[in-house]
Amino acid sequence: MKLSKVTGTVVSTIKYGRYQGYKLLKVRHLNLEGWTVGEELVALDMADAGVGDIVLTNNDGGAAKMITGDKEIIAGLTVCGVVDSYTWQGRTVQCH
Amino acid sequence: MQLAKVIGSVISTRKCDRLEGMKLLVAIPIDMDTFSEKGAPFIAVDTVGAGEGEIVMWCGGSSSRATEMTTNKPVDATIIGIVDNVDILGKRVFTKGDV
Amino acid sequence: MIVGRVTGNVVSSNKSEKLRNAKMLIVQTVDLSTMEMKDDYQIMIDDVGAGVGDLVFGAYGSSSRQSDTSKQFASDYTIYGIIDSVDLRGKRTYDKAEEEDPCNWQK
Repeated sequence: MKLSKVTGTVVSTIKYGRYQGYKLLKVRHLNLEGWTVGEELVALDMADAGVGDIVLTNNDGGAAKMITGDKEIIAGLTVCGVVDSYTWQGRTVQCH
Repeated sequence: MQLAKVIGSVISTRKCDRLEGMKLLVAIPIDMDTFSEKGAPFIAVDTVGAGEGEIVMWCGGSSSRATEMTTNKPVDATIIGIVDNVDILGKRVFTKGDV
Repeated sequence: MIVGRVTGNVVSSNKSEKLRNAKMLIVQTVDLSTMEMKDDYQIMIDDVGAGVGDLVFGAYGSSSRQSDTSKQFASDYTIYGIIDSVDLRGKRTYDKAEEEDPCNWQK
């Protein structure tokens, strides 16, 4: 998993059937200093996250099947938790 | 499957009980054209008794759990063979003991 | 298997049911040829009781959900062992017993 920041939401009416009812979020990975890095990614929201939240993103299709409870779903990135705080190299960062 | 060269080993006493008794080796990917080391070293589980300096075949992902020794084991890289010779386009490009 | 140094942890209360009671550690990847810590990291689920400062190894993908404890978590990277020593090209390049201060970033 990686730390990511929710930068927006994605709305799609015509989508893969198994995605019906799920919220899609636009996220970017964070480095440990807290800066966004890399490109914008779309993730399936399974933690009721909102724009601006620091979240945990899981990058495994098998884990996505577990998190959604849908053995047939095909998903890459899933938002699986909203981060309260993280401690890195002795420094604690409060995320909200 | 890919080729790699065994360059070392890792010892761990506190590990997942399903990994008990497994030999962990450090391998580095090998370039097929020049048989020189290329890329970053990684840890792989040994199933064939490979030793340092040998060129081996390894596989990753869920295939790494397809050997008898690694079935249902938390392993994502397995050494599955020791390479004796490599022939490409009718030419012997590698013989064991060369590199 | 990936190798890294545990440098922190993550706390999340609002998370997937499949991560309940999972210990999530920040692991910065280590280059085995130089034993230097890279900027890159992964948040890994701990299966062995690792702590900050430990050099650990783990597996990713479906292999990260293979042990009795890790298979209940929706993990993509799991820590499966704490490294005691590394031998490379006939030389001992890492020895946990001789390491002086693994947490020297805290100074």
